[in-house]
Amino acid sequence: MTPFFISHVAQSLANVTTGVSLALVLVLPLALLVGMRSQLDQALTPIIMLVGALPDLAILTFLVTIIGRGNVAAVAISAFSAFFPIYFTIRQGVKEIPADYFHVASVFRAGRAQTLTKMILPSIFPNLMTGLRLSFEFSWNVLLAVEIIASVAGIGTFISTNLGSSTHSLTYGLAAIMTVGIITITMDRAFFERLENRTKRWH
Amino acid sequence: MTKVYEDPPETVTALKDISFNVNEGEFLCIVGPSGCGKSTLLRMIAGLDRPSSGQIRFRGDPLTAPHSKISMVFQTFALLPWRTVIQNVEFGLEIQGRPKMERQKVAMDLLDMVGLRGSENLYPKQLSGGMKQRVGIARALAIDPEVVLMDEAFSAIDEFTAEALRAEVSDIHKKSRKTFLLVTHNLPEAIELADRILVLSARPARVKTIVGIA
Repeated sequence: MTPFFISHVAQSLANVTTGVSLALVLVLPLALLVGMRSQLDQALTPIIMLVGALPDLAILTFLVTIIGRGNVAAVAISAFSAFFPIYFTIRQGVKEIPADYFHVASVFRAGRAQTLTKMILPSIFPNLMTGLRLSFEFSWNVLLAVEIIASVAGIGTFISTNLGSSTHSLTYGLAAIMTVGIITITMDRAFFERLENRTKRWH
Repeated sequence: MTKVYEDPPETVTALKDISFNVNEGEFLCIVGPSGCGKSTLLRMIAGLDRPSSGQIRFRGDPLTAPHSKISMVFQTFALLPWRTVIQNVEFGLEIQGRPKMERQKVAMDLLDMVGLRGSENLYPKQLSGGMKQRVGIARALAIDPEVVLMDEAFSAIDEFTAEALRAEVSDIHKKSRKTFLLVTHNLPEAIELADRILVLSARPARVKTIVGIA
């Protein structure tokens, strides 16, 4: 039982990680810009809030009928889910940077890249960690749900196919559910909490 | 060296028809009622703001952006919380690309001077207000400026600590011969520290008078 089952879990995990990373790369620059330029913020954020308010599971299961059930779909689903937590936490982080930090960067003549690496990114690091944690957890849950509903490749499908049939598979199904739960908690505690604690040094 | 300013109206007319010189090596205090625009004036000298008309000149050249020889100490201290004390002092030197050994030496010497040797690896959140401002002063001096701007630098500190800090700053001024510009609403403070005092009226601020202190 074990190796077969683990590969499904690993597949889902990998897809979520890829999706979240993809979202991060795309959203981080956007959220930074939006946080710093209120005109852009006022133009863009309402639209994003609107999209975020739409029923994601419905949209995503529909998406699967277009893209298919493979890993590409899983990554796209994860990235889409990860988009919103990252966008809003980073945007908020940037808005909370005290104006005087920008003044410090200016007075000491930091260039744009230096201002970004030496002031903005360290400032929003706690928000980034929160954003990543939220988006990972959110993505994980959404992907699992879509896997179950739409039979996208991954542990969700494994669970749904097993729960549907004989008692023997029921055990597998329940075991898989437990495993997913354990993984979620472990990820949260072992990984993200460690990163968030790093920020407590100076906060 | 003289700086010649002339910065008339802002959009909300914070300052009107301001014109004065600053003499090299002097301690000039700019005083006026709260909200009269004196901080705006200082920010323009720091290069953080631009006058809507008129010009600020430093050593003959117009000033339109932060200058490498003009530094600033902030009322809110504005230390970067993820950096240790010494890393904060080194900030300007890091921007300039100075090598690590040099940065550390300059920073430690300054921390010595402001009495913070031993605290170099602490984080700002572990410091009192007075200590934070000492770090702010050290940071400002690290880039070896010719002019040190102080924006209500003592206003957010308790009176006892502020008194000690003023004496230290006065000392630093006398020893370094740098030009100091302090904006404050505290008149006794200005009288204590200044060679000259520039008095601004209420908004829109105009130069009311310039007083020399013996």
